[in-house]
Amino acid sequence: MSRRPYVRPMPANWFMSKPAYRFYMVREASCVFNLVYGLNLFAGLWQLTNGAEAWAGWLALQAHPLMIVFALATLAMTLLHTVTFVEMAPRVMPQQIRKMIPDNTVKAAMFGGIAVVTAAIIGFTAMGAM
Amino acid sequence: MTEQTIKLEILRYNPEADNEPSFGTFEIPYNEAWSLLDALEYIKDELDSSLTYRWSCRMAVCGSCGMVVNGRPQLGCETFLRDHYPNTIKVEPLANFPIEKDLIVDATGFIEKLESVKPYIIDAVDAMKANPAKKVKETPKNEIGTYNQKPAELGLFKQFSMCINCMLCYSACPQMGLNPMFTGPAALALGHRYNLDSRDHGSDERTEVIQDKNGVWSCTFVGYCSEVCPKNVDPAAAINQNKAQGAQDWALSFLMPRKGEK
Ligand code: SF4
Ligand code: FES
Repeated sequence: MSRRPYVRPMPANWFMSKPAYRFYMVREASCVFNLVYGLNLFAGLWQLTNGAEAWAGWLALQAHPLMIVFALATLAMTLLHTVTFVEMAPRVMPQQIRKMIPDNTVKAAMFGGIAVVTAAIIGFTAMGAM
Repeated sequence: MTEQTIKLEILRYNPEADNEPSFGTFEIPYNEAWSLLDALEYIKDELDSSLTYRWSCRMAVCGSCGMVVNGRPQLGCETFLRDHYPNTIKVEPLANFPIEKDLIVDATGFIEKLESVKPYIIDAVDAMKANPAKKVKETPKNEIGTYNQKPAELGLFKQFSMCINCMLCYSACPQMGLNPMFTGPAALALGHRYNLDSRDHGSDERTEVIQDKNGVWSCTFVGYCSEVCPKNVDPAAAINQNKAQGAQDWALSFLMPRKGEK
């Protein structure tokens, strides 16, 4: 009886093979949306330094339906990113601390912190718009 | 009376006759009480005695019967026909391992990885033997010469010690498939288990393997290993706690070259 172990190749599209893998890829892809969104914001800042006309042009571009769709998609992806991040965060804490503070407390604190910061940003923006 | 039946598609590979694995289909009587392992036993006894698979305890403690059931790594003895009936059940050997024969995979690499994290208590004496420059404070022994451990100290690592070496997590991990050198979930969780043990002083000696690029840094926290683990070991947590620790040590090594050096 001779041994002849068979090694199965890893398919190039392995990430499509299971729901868990597909979800992982979406989770990881969420940062791409944030990157592009960030670059767009920097482009806006840049245009702001280029005078009123350039700024108005950038603002007009933001009102384009495709840009609005992109902004909404970024919002959705950012929420997914946030939720998955907070869900995973307690598990990464040092085991000693993890045994002292329940995971749910950590998650609640993180979501609370994010809510406060988000509310503050929205508040400041609203005040600036007034 | 027509008997209820259920179909099983099993990936077969006979190293003496086949060049590659292919699926074989079996139709067997459906029994609500049967586990997948019972079904395989029926096939081996009644239909094809050459069917090859591993099993021992039939109660999810020995870790022998790991297989991929409809794409999900599972214990054969913990998978029930009733959860799939009337659908066909597709059974494959664990992914990311070479197939030896049918559902049996070659676990040599896995065993070597387990050994590589030094999964035993390294006491102060041994720790100082390994690194004479280091001062290690010995854990006090009790009057009969063994260590006392408080429930809280046990609780720190207990979860990571529940592993039954079933290798489901290795089958679940895509990074394992992409980088076969990856030490992998169970082995890294086992190293973490000893590092967290109050009796152990060997964490320095495990660092090289744990913090290697084939150690925890091969992991991207897909997290599927922890989902399939039948013992709730949560190896993904063990690995990523080590990443956080490693990053902290790395940063400290700049601030305090001597202290951070580990
Ligand atoms: S960590 Fe869980 S899935 Fe991995 S070998 Fe141990 S018991 Fe099995
Ligand atoms: S036969 Fe022992 S775990 Fe399944």
